[in-house]
Amino acid sequence: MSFLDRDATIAPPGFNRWLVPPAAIAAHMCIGQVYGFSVFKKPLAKALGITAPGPGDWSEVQVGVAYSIALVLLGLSAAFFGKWVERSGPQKVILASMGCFCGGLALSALAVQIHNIWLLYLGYGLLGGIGLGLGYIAPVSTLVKWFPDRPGMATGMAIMGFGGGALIGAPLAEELMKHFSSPTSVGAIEALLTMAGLYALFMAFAAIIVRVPAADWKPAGASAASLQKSTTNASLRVPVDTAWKTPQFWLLWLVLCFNVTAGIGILGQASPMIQDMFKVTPAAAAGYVGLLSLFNLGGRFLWSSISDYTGRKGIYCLYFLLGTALYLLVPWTQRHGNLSLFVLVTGIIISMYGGGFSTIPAYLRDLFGSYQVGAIHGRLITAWSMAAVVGPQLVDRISAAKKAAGVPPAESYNFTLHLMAGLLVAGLIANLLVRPVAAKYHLP
Amino acid sequence: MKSSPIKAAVFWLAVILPLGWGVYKSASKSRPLFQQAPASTTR
Repeated sequence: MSFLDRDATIAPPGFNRWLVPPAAIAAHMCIGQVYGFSVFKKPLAKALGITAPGPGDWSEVQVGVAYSIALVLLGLSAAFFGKWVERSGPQKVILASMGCFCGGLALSALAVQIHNIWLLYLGYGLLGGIGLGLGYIAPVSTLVKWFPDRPGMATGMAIMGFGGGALIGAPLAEELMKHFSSPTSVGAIEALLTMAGLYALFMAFAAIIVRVPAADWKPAGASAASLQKSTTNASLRVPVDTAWKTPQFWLLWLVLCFNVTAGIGILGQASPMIQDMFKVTPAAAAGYVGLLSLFNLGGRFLWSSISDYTGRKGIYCLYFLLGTALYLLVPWTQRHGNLSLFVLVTGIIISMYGGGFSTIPAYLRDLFGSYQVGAIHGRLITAWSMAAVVGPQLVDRISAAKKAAGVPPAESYNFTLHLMAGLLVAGLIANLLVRPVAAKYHLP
Repeated sequence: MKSSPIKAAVFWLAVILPLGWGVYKSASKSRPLFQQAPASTTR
């Protein structure tokens, strides 16, 4: 289908580049639904019993496996299909992502209908996960090429959309299930099908409006200094098969992995942590989780945009240094009963967790150029997959072990918090070791 | 060939509206935390 090929989506002269970010944000807003998948856990765990889990119902843990599979497949598909994504252009890739992700939601509805957990894993986990990987890297790589003068802001916009996807996906699913629920149904089937349709529309919108710049395109109005500096980096040409053999790639892999794991230290246990540490009500704890989502969203755009001025290495040093200090401060806020400070401190930590996600593609572009930055980003995302699966397990087990050992609940998180601070120090070391990629790796 | 600013505005609205709804829902959800905060900060 030649009309979907990369060449067919090259923007004409005079095209306004500000038409492209909505495409990237729309695609990311849809696939970001994965972060809101947890709202399906309880309803799917009583799909047969309706009012309470009945005989033959899935457990919440079983349902949660679909989410883990999706995140693993996100990383694997981004790594595996990265070169195809670069070659095919964003239009074809966003449509492929739409087919996989929305098809996965529809298959999940069928899985609930016939009550087959393996179909749920196949639909939401495997197929949906592939859609996530494809849909994640293509918009980011496209925006990096459109904004060579502001790559941090560009990646921040796209990845902010992913954070926004959780804010939309969770309440949308709740509203839909409430609307469709009846004495004989939890409403999940209809909700999943409606979401598949809505997201397909939005992703089709993204695919239709997305454009790539011509090879000789330069942004009008960008300052000469910023353009010269940025295009120096952007013009580097390090292919993905070479990039992943460089120490810089693996140092950034560690940087992302440690940053994500540390963020999950708060996110993964936010609700029980604030209830144990400050004795707040479950409703207030849910409010805290909602507030953290807003910090996560804002941090993705704010910190990444700031990185255009501080440099990528500088901003990661700030994430790691400030993050370490703030993690060490959290137990102090509990000891002094200062809930407001606790919320502020953890909110800033989560904003930097989000910032870490959105700044990494710009960091890759600085080191390897924009030539195959999407494919390189795809391989780096495996760090996120690993952290997202291993991190929560680690945190849950440590906290549970501390409570089982008789540590008071309010203090049972301190070890985890100190461990997260240690991970951030390790991330800082990895970041400080990053040097420009040696010329021998560049294509002529 | 210049791109229409109206087109840009429509594209941006298409993403800002759902994002704004998501932010509003999250902000509404966080209200109980602020109602709880003053009582918990005093020991």
